[in-house]
Amino acid sequence: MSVALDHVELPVVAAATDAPRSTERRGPVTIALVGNPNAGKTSLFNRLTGLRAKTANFPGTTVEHRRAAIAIDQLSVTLIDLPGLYSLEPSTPDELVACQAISGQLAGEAPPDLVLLVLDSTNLERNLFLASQVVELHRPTVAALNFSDVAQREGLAVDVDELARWLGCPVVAVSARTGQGMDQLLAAVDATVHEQIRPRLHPELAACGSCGGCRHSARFAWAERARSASVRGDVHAHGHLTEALDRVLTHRWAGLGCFALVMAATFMVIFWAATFPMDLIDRLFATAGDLVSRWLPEGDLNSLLTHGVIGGVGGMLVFLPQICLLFFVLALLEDSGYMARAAFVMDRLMHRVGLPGKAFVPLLSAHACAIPAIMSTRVIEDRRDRLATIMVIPLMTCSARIPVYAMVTALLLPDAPLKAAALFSGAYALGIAAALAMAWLFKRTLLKGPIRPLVIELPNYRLPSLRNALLLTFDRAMAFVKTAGTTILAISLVLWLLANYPKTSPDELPPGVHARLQQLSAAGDEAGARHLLEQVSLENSFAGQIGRAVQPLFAPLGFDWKMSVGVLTSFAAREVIVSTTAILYGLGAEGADDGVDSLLDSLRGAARADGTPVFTTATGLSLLVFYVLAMQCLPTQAVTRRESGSWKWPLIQLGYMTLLAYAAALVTYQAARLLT
Amino acid sequence: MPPTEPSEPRLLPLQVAMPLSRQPCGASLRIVRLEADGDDCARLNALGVCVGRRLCVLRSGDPMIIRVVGARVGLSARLAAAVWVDSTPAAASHEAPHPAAPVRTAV
Repeated sequence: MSVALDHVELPVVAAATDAPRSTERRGPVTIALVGNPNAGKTSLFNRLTGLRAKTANFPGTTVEHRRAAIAIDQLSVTLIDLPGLYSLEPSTPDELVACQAISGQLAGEAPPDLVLLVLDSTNLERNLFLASQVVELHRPTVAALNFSDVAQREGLAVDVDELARWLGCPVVAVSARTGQGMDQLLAAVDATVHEQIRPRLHPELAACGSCGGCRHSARFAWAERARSASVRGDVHAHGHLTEALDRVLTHRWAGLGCFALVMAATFMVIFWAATFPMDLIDRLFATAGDLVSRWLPEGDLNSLLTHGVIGGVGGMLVFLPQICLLFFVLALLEDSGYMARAAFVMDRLMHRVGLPGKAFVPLLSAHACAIPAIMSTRVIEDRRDRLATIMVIPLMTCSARIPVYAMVTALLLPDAPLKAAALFSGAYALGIAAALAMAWLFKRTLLKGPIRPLVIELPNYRLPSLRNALLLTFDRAMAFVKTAGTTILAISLVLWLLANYPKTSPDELPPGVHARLQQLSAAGDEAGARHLLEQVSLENSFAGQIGRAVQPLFAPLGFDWKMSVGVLTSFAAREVIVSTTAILYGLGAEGADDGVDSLLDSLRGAARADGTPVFTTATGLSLLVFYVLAMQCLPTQAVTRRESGSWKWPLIQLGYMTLLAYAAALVTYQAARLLT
Repeated sequence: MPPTEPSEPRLLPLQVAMPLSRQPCGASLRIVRLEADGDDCARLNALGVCVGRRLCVLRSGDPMIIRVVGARVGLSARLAAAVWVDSTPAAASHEAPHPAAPVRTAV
């Protein structure tokens, strides 16, 4: 993958001879932020834009970037945060798009009026390599020397004027974290864009491309000379602490141990801290549903709003705290420089299934929720590796599966906590094993390709920025609510329709039901009568009819028609199976909340037409295996669609997971029936 | 890519090129040849692993850590095996060694 940028390598032109644009122009100009990964580009972008930024895809690509409209003095500016680059010879789709955007080759995207180079003062030599290629593009350029406060603290003195001479463009020392130097930076940007000042190439740099040997080598040699001419002090001072930490954190065994500890702590924080806002959201939606159902007269509108809209949206939003916390902690870890070490220590292990080390954290995050996990696969450079990871992520046991696991284990092993715990763990293990096996399979079939060997910069450890982490969390959370929210709302409405129509009028009730209803009413059991009515209504609804129609399909798995309806209604959100079974087995929708006990009692008592119990060990195991492996989560599908850029991948995901779940449940049921 | 083969001593009379993957921790080395294919080669080059430059091994094994262009880079052994290095002293390649780099030279 190479973009035709080589022709710009040798511009010996030193002065801006192109006809300058009108100097009166104050209209919107585009400024692109360009820099190495870890140079603090995003921090600078956040410092300049705050909450005004929007996340968008470049036209025709799945490559995401952030842009914001801001005003510098009288000038209105569109600021674009491009993906990080090490050089202008791209090797990933993100890098390709970034390179094309800088050079104005991206269809539908005008070339930037100014390139804002972001350089890390504490790692200048490496950053100057990209800088040398960028100034050769001969676009108006300003360099922001970021982390200048850190450099100062480390005893590094950067001679800004000398560096400006080497780069041929204005250089301003800034700190995105403290805001130091921002005014000077904006003034330099304003002047450069106003006068259309283009870089004056340093004579040695101009000669760089023409000398023999490795052109990269000559450029690195230039970067080294530029750095040694402009920086005084021990350039490795900042690295000493990092080196000491890395001695432990990248150690073959100690590194793995530390990583396990970091991840365990992360998950404890997520699961513990998320319970409070989750309860709050749950209560909020329950109260909202309550208010609506009290204010509106009983009827379809009432039911639509309380069960369809509020129930559906609430069911999705209740996971938002977990999603946000996961994003937040991962952002802090990434910002601190630790994530590169995690990828480093996991690389050898992950290679066994054909995935890179960077796939591990997303796979692990999927144990909280697949959605942030899929979004966090963006760190994986290779598209095939990234797709393979996305495809298997939903097999990991997310929090929404826990209610289902809890129901089945309590049903099968009510008085054996140890065995129940083992079954629970077994379900987790099955998900992990299936994910790794499928990743292995995908990498050998659909997504066949060589395993990309690890090359990763291990940046200096830094104190992570809370501000950046919060902004990123906010951004991702909004993306989730927008993507998943609309889909979930639509599907909730469809499911509500299917579960509520056609209506069952009291006259159509079979005589047996009538008699039981009258008995219950006579005994004063209003709730019981209502539950019976709900049960009969659902049986007669479209969902019930479809469930009965497809029941033969699920019969080999041991599912009765009620469980088949549950599988259908939980298509969009797997945890719905619990409330559906509650309704179908005559407990009412609130039956699931009354404590699992009453639901379990009625499930245990449920019998088939021939009098044999529905819930045998075989059925329970089969149901558990089905829910470990089945997709059953529409928001995840919507996010897969968004991240992969087409409907093809979510459809493959749905297809293979459903088949896998069906086959595995079938084998489980038949084998368990033979053995018990 | 310079025409240096490990088996042709007349081109490099004093130094023998060796794969980076087998170098011990602390070795300070010069890169003489890259045998990685296109994409991997571009990634290595972009991070400063290119012919004529120097690097220093900070941790050996798989994956290994090297210091190149003033920063640490993690590298899988498979890729390191495609990077051929020799132990020409820093002075001979007209580049100053990194001040913090260990001075021990690989045999």
